[in-house]
Amino acid sequence: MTAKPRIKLPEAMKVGETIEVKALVRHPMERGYRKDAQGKTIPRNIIHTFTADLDGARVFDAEFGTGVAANPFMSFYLRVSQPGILKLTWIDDTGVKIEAERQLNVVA
Amino acid sequence: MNSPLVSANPSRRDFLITASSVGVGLSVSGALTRVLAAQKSDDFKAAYDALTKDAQPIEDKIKLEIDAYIENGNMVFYRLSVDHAMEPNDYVKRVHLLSTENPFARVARFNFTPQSGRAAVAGRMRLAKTQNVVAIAELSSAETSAARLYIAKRYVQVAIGGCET
Repeated sequence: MTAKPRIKLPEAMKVGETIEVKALVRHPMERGYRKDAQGKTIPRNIIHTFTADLDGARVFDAEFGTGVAANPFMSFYLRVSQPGILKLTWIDDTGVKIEAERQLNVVA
Repeated sequence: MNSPLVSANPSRRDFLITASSVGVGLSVSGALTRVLAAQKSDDFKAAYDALTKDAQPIEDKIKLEIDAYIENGNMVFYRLSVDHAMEPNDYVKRVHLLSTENPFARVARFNFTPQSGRAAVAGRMRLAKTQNVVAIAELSSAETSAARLYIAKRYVQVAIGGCET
C-alpha cells in the first residue's frame, strides 16, 4: 500500500474565490520497460487516473501516462461555490485506489 | 483573436499567410506546425494529428513554463495556464500535454469543468531527451466557434534522460 497523500489547500477561503489545490502521492509510476536485477521486465504500474470531486460533483480530473514522474504531484484550481468536502482519488494499474478528503474552510 | 485583419480577409488561410509575412504580433500555428514536423516522433505525430485534425490551433493563449535546461529528465516541473473564460457555456474542456521525443508522446490529459475556475495545472513529468513539450487546449465551444484549439510549445534541453533506464 501507499503512504497517505499530502494535500495543500488555503487555510481559509471565500465563496466565489478560485483556490489552488496541491496534491502529492507516493507512487513509483513504473513505466513497464525497466528490467530488474535478474533481467526480467518490471510490469507497468502507474497511477492512470486522478479525480477531484466536490460534494460528489466532478470538478477536475487527469489521465496520466508513463511520462508522468514518480510520486506524482498535481496542482489544479477550484472555484469555491459553497462549503463542502473535496475528495481526491488516485487509481493505479493494479487497481489500488488511494482516497483522501478535505473539508473546504469557507469563511464569510 | 479578434483582429480587424480577419474580417478584411475573406479566407482564414489568406489571413494566416498575410499575418506571418507582415510579421504582426499575432502568431499562428503555421510556423509552429512546420517546426514540429521537422522533429516529431511517429507517436507524437499520430497524437498531434488525432487532436488537431484539420484545425489551425491558435498560439499565445497557453502559457507553458518549464526550465529551458534540465539536469535530470526524471523529474521535470511544468506549469501551464490557459487564457480563456471558465463559464458554463464557454470554457477550456481539456488540455493535452505531449512530448515530441518520449517513447509515449501523451504525457497527461487534464479535464476541466467551469467549476475549475482556471484552466491551469502544474506537475512533474519525465523527458527522455532534449525535445519540445507541447500543450494543446480544447475549448467547450468547439462546435460553435472557429477557435477550437490553442497550442503552446517549449523547447527543453535535457542533460540526463528520464525514460531510458
